[in-house]
Amino acid sequence: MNALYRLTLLGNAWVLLAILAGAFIAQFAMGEPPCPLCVMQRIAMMLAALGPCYTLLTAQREGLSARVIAIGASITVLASLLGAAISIRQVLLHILPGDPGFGAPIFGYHLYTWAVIAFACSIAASGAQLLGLQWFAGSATRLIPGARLTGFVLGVMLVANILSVVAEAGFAWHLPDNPTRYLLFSR
Amino acid sequence: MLYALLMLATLGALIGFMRGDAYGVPVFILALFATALAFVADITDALTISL
Repeated sequence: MNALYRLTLLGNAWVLLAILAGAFIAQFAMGEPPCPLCVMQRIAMMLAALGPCYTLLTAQREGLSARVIAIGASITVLASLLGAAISIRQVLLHILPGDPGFGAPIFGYHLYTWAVIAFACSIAASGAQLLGLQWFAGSATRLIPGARLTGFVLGVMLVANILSVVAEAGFAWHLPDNPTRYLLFSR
Repeated sequence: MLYALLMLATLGALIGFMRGDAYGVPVFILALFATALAFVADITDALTISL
């Protein structure tokens, strides 16, 4: 497997995982429970991270075929399009002059603005993968360092977010639009 | 609970990919469509936050 391509896939997945970890840390460090749109952006980001995970994990078993690359890139593009739609919706909700936005800004931008940038970059990275499909496909199968670890970390991130959203919503079906506390622990 | 179920479906797709099972991609498509439906339901609801 082309080393540069492997690095690109791992980079794609780990950038998304780092953003998710950053959002999770900000949630507890700044005491800001995520709103429904924030949670849906997280879900879309985790769905987008499934793309490089699929390609890495399947290439270890079956080899890196054009089919595997195409399915992995499609997973990322579809999930990123949904995620971009959700985050653009939230940007537009807070676009009026004087609106402070939802949550505290990080490095000058709110998390949903960073999410738009991340989803756009994911789509661009998947496009580059598809563009180089004929060069990358057909490489020999071998153990890919970090493939299973990436999948495992994504799994841990999913479980942590499931526990967080259950704590936030309690036994209610929907989250409040502007959450301020964890309903599972409040009377 | 709705979002927890969506994330459980995403976890199911990841487990499918890790085990090499054929159900991984269909479960991903299910999770993606369910999230899209949840988003459409959210944007068609009346806003309860002040802009």
